Amino acid sequence: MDIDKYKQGKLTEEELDIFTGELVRAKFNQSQKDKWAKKLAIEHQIQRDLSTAKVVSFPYRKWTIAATALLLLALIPLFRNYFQPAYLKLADNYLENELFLPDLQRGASEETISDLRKTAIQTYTNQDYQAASSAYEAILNSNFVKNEDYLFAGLSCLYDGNKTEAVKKLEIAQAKIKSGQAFSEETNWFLSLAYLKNGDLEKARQKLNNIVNKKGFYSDQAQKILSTL
Amino acid sequence: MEEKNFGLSENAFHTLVAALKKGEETLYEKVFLAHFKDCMQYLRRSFKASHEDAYDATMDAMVVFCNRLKAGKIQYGNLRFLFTQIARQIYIRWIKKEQLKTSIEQPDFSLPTATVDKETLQLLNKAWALLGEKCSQLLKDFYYGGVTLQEISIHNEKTPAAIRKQKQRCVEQLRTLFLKIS
Repeated sequence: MDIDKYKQGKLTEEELDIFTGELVRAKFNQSQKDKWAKKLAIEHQIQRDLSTAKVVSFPYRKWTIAATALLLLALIPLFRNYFQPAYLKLADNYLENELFLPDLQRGASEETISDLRKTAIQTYTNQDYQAASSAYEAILNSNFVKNEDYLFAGLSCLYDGNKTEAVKKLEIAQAKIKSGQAFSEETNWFLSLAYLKNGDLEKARQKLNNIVNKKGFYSDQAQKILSTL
Repeated sequence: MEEKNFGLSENAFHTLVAALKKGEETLYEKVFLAHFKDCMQYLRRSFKASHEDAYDATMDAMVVFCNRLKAGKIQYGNLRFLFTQIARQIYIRWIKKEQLKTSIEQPDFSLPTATVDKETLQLLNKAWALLGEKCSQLLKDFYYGGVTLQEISIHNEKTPAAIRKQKQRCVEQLRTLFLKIS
């Protein structure tokens, strides 16, 4: 309905009734949203605008962090078996709890779904990463390889503990899967985790920053890890 | 079954709806805000929605769902599915508006269309602040609360005709105030 007609008093009685109803409902719906937005931010740490998300800060933060880091470095030899940096704990946590599975149905009509691919997917899904790694390696050497195979081959290596190989495969996946294509965000995310696991902290930082800036699927998780790096 | 209904048993669902009808939203907020992120993630994963779009669509779904529960238009069964489908449809409608082609089939929930822009809403808030208490309560109850004029007249111990007249005066008063501050 036309706001100008409303202002000019050109609406019929029925139209005025409908329009007023729309206005009143819009007003109270907005109040409700504002209230929920506050609760979401405070109680669930969910904000609409990620750039305004508060970062916990306190006086002498840098000095405190530096002093803590030094203390921790000094303690590392004593607790070598028990100590694990926060970023690695987070990386492990994401790798363990947010399993990213290949989809057997994806492209199922294509002839490229071979027994080998089925084996790779099944072993990966069953978390038999050594077998998955071998199966994916065979797929990568075949002539029906898909870009996403590099991703899952890399992930199989990563979960199997072969970090260097994981980085290598995931970097190839990243080069092959263009931004905006399926699996592009997943590839970047898992490559950043692989960098972390492999100790390539600078590369990890760059990649994580990139993920945060793009505000993609994994930006919240990436931000959490960055705050510990 | 409770898993499909945000952890609510059928009895708890009826308690929530009864509370909403009385204007008490605490339980609704507790249940649905706790699942806000899940719905956002669903939109982001399924449609590659941006963080902001997923947030806005889920927020709008919260409003639509709340209003429908109040109106008794939602039954216990699979609230989680229904909620995410409403958010999905809201999001799809936005992207369609932006002329982005999509071949996604969508169920029709006949969602209300937002017609009031931000600027109008700001003017309305200013006008509303100048509206008398009786008028603002009457208009809120009738247009937002879904209370009938008959019910309002009983509550105010007046005839329905008198309340109808009063409502008309309030509608006109709001329009006049709106004009003044525009």
